[in-house]
Amino acid sequence: MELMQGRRLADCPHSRYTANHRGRGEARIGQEQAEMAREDQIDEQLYETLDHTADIAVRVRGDTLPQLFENAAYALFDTLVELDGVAEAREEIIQVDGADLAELMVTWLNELLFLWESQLLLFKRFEVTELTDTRLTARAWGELFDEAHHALLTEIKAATYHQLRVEKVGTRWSAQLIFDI
Amino acid sequence: MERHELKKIHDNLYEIPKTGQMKVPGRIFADAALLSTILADQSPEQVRNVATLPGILRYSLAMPDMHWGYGFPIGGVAATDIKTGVISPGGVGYDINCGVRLVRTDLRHSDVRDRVRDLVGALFEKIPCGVGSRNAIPKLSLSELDRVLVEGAAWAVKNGFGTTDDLEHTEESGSLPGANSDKVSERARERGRAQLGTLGSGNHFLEVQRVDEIFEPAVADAFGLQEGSITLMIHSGSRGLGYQVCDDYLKVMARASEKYGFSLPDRQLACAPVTSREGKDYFGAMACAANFAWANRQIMMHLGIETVLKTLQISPRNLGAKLVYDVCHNIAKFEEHTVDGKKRMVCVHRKGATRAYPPGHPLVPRAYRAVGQPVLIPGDMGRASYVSVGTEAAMEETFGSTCHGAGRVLSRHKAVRAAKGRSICRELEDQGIIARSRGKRTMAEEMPEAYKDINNVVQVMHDAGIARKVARLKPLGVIKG
Repeated sequence: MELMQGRRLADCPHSRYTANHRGRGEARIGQEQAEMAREDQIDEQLYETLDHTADIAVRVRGDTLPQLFENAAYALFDTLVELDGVAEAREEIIQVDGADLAELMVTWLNELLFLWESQLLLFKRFEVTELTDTRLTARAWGELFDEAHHALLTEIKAATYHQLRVEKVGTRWSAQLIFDI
Repeated sequence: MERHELKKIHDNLYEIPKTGQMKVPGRIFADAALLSTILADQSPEQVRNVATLPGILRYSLAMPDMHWGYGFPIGGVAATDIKTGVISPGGVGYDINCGVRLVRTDLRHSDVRDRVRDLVGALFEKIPCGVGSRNAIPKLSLSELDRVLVEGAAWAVKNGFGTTDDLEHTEESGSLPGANSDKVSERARERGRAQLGTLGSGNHFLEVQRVDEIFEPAVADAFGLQEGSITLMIHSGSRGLGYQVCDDYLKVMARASEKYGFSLPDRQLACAPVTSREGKDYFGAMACAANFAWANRQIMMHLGIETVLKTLQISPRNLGAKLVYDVCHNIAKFEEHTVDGKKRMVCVHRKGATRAYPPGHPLVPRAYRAVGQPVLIPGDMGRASYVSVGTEAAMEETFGSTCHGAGRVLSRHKAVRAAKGRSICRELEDQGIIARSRGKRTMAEEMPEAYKDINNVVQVMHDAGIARKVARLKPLGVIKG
């Protein structure tokens, strides 16, 4: 119980927040844009939330395919936790295999969810170091969950294959993902 | 899908005619108003997709709480032939054996009227809930976890959480036969090991409720429900263990679908013949996750009852807590049904649907056999939940199935936007409901208006004669993840 007991009971916790933060990629976008993203709950450069009745659907973009995978991971953790409070205190090397790009994407995201749920690791920055159609190797920076510092938002059961698309649009890459909530 | 593509069968049932790759027609239980909500999202297309599954029997069915899921619609039911048909993890979902249990008590509303806040506070402290909730009970050794996977709720009872009576009042006695723990990955074990006895997040909840209205006194009496009495309801599933089993087998099934030459309209519908090695392995692992979920709800119920006793300083005798029933609503099971006038075993997938067996069925607990199986249908945290009862019509028309909840109507995103500047907690409190949640967005995402009106959903199945209303339960206290 040590994790949950540390948290004080908050009556009506939702009343203490006003904005729904989305897509804050401080490392990649300027302060002004970040403010806009906060307002619109959308960050055009990293990902946007699409309408889905029960779950969460996002469209992720990247200039390159490795960046698409990095941004998808960012979208995953940005949905799960307030990333502001997460420090880049430790680094993990992650390698996954998949039959094709779509499966590789789902496997990569679900590997990160596995690390979160089994080891309570939260990540906020990602660097894909090797990528083929069937294998991805990446470095991920984050830290262990600490109830006093981290505000969790939404439990994600899995990244799903439903309507999954990983595709090149013009010169950029795009992926549509549905997270099961 | 457009309204004109559907054929009206009666006021509460519409048919999607068999076209293209569909092997059977689709059937949606809904009235005109619910149907227009349903047609607004992509769930009717999903009903059509499910109708293409190899070996599907009679209809691809959908309940009035249906909404857009992944693969199957949420609220979908499909039975497949066990010799020529398939089993699909997409027909069960990630949260394997997500389900509901209801506890009745001898407490009257007047006994707890002034203590609801204390009860909610104590339950919120005792039962780990929210994203990443864990450590309700000491972490299990791997061999102990294996026993949970095979024995299910019985493991929990053996270890002091509840009584053997509880098992009799649980679907499948809280332990699905055919569980094969060798087929559960190390990763699934690792993910679920610390999560037994935890609620999780999203739409999962524990509620203190009051029986608000009785519709069928004789049946309510058999279920131990009286108007004005207090009940506890728990909605949770197999946590990370189930999610991982589903994810693991979606990959296996993607290869299998290719191997067996299935062409499927959605990758999330990946499947394998029931009789194939892949199909059997999935069933063995899925049954383990189902058993984990039953143990999970059994433990939470016990912790909940203990907390009520301690908070109110009363004896177990005065509380009179008894499990009414426990139903699963995300599962694939082998069941006997009549198809083309002949009794046969089929593989029933229920993804967001509840079993609703009639009076006299041998799998209905003895205490309820004369009246039928209790069907537990949770609504949103503001309106109500229902207890209905299964019927013969359900056996004839829906493979013994009915709806499982209200069904979302607003996306989480829209709900959060609609809640901006409001205090959902206070709004609930004004209606006499004390709610607590861990997650910052939970109250907004789960606000009552994000859901269809449970009263309408349950009424459709009542009017269709599939599951008759027995009692309505109103929330007094809610804990959420």
